[in-house]
Amino acid sequence: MKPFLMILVVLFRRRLRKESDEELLRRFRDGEAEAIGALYDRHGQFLLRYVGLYMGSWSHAEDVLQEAFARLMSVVEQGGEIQNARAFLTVTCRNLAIDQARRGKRFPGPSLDDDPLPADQPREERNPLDDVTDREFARRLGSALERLPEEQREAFLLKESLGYKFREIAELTGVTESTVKSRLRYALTKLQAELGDFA
Amino acid sequence: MSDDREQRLVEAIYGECHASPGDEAEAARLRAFREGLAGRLAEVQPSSGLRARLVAEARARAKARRSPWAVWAVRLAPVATVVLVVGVWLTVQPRFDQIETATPEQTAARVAEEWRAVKPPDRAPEGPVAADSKPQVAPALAPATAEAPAPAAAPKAAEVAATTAQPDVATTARPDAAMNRQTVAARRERLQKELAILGAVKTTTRGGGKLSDVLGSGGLGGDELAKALSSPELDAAGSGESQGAVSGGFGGMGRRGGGGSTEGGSGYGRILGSKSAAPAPEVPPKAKGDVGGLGGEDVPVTAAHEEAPRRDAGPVELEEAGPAEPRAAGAAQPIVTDVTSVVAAAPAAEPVVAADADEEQVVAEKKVAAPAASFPAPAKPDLEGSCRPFERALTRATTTPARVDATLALAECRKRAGAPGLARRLLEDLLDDTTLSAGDRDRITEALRGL
Repeated sequence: MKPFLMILVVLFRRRLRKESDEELLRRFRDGEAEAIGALYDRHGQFLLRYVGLYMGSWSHAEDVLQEAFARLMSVVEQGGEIQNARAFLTVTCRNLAIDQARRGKRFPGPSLDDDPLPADQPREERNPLDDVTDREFARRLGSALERLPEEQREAFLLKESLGYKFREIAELTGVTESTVKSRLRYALTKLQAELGDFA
Repeated sequence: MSDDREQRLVEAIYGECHASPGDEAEAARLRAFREGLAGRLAEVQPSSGLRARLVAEARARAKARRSPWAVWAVRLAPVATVVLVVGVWLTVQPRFDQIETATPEQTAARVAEEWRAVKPPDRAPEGPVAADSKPQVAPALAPATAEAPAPAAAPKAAEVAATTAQPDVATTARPDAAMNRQTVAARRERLQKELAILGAVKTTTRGGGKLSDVLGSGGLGGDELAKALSSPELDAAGSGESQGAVSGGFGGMGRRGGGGSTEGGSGYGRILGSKSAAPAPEVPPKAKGDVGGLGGEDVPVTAAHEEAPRRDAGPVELEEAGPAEPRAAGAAQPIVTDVTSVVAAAPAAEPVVAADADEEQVVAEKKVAAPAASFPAPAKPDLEGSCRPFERALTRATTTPARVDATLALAECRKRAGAPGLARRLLEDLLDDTTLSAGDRDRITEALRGL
């Protein structure tokens, strides 16, 4: 019985994976909770990495991302139209992270060092050497990003973590494309100086 | 570095263009670093239980959006469906059973049973019949049956056949003379249909009469038929005997046995007298049935009456004996009753000659001939229908004396229709009227006593 149910769940998720963001939101409005799961599968990991690297804490990144999804659900429930769910979640996560940083909660909890493992790879299957390397890289990356100016860190993460284009980053952050490119160049140069031996 | 060079350098790092010749080396170096860093970043996939939490929250929100009514409707829908299906089945299934499994005989029996069930309460005997409530035996009856008096069976059958064949008689001015002629005709038609369907009895007699037509249906109509037959028209033209007498005459033929009806067998003679315009035979009123005996068409009857004048028929004996349904002790004995007098009194043209004087035997054989499914459901006796004219008169009455007259007439009609309780209530309600005169009150009180 249980395997049969698992097969049904997998098939259902696979079907939802093909739906557009708008369709998933419509399904959620109609009462399909799993549509939110499908939306998380599509954007959640990127956003979590972005927020985690931006804030320097996975646990706080989860809180921020959960709050962002909760706001998304509230807007949908109230009949609001969301044209781009990914952009909505990104902006919401960014604003929430900035709010927390302003309240002095930027790195209050466990750092990136505490949870460097890939989510889809069990700890026991990993090479211990890789484990150590990843931990070290995550720690060094976190330190390097922490030392970057906020706008350079943001531009770098939006570009590298979420894959936004220059124009989209400019729109999200409210600056020109050339400014975004300059910020990216400075960020890359500084990160190369600190992480050159890893990359 | 100028803005243009810097932008071109960044675009070159991300592969969107070529860097300036002087910046190619730096662009290549940064591009290699960036690609390596991106690869490492892609591997950073923090494990998280966030997905499950988000789905759970979405589920809770979806549930909260549903109204309580919708939630309960979804929960109760299966139960309501089951209840509905069971209810419909319980309603329809008995009818299916009746339609699919009942044989014509069963249907006939069921119809007869329903007729008996809806039969109006027996009326109190009237006139000499009412006065003599003890079963009596005709003086000339055979000694063997002297202790078990019974109503005259065959004569009543003849009587019914005669009266149903000649329904039109003048109306008198009695209080119930205004009874709707159509109602009487409708009853008669319905009962004749009953007789034709359920009581087809084939007789084998040298006389070749149709006595059996009535024999077979005896008792099915019961008082209903008697009531129709005892309409004012019939009474008026003949000897003016009461309904009770007629009812008894027919009831004696009933399936329930000779004594099944209330008023015994004395009535037939009066009806015959009225029908034949001849002097009614002197049949002493046996009154008050319940003496058992005939048992409808299934009981052998040996008829012999020495005193009654014979014309062309002798005593009748019905063969094909069946179990009787006696209603009094000794009723199961063969019953001797007066048949010949009835036959003698019947009109010459009536096809009711039922017996031969020599052989004195009639063999009756009952056959149920009607298709059961096509037979209409028996209607309840129309107790109130015959009183509608009085009700209308009461409705139209505007003055107190007129209302009193109309109410008294209606009460009398209801009493005759077998609903004395209704009549009593009607009169008692009228007594509450404070505008009544003393004379009116006396009349009403008198009428109440008569109930």
